[in-house]
Amino acid sequence: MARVNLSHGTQKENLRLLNKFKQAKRLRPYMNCALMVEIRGREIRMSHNNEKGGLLRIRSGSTCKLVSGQFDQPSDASCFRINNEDIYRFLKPNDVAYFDDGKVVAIVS
Amino acid sequence: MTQSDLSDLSAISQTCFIDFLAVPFVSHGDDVTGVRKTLGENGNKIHILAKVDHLEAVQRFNEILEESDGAIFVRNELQWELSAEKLMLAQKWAVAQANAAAKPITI
Repeated sequence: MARVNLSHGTQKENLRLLNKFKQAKRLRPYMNCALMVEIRGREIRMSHNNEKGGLLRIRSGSTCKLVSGQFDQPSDASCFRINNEDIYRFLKPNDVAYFDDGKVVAIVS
Repeated sequence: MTQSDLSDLSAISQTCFIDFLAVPFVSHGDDVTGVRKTLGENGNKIHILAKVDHLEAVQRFNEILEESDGAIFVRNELQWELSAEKLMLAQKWAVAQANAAAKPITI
């Protein structure tokens, strides 16, 4: 089975990848290969940042804000600009939030 | 499913036939039913695999499994909500439930 995760890359890049899959299947008519597509779902992404190498350095114990509606502006260590406007309905004080696959752990205040 | 998902699926379905659709952030059976309704008649041959990637999905696993065609147990997301011992037990339990329901599950 071929698995394509739409969370990565743009729609154009994903379609290009799927066209290659189609070509590969055509070249091997004797082989079966199913296609699994994984949708993005309710993802939350942070805007770009202007740090060197794109890495944000965040000190343990520091405070940062989550801001939505400004996704075109860069994020920094004190302010994360995200693309989700509904998250505030779900977050409560003392909730634990994870960023970057769990590398950064934050507590909502 | 978001508008972006619908747009992606619409574009893809014009290129390839999708055999399986993996749906993340499923919290209960209605989420899977909602995806099926959105796919409509044209998508009734697509098998829906629910991704079990947070604690609520584990707690409502049977309900989610009943509505979907299979499951994907996402250990690297669940590790943040379950300790290693509980994660191992939850994994074994989920596989047993899926086997009893004769539905595929991947880890």
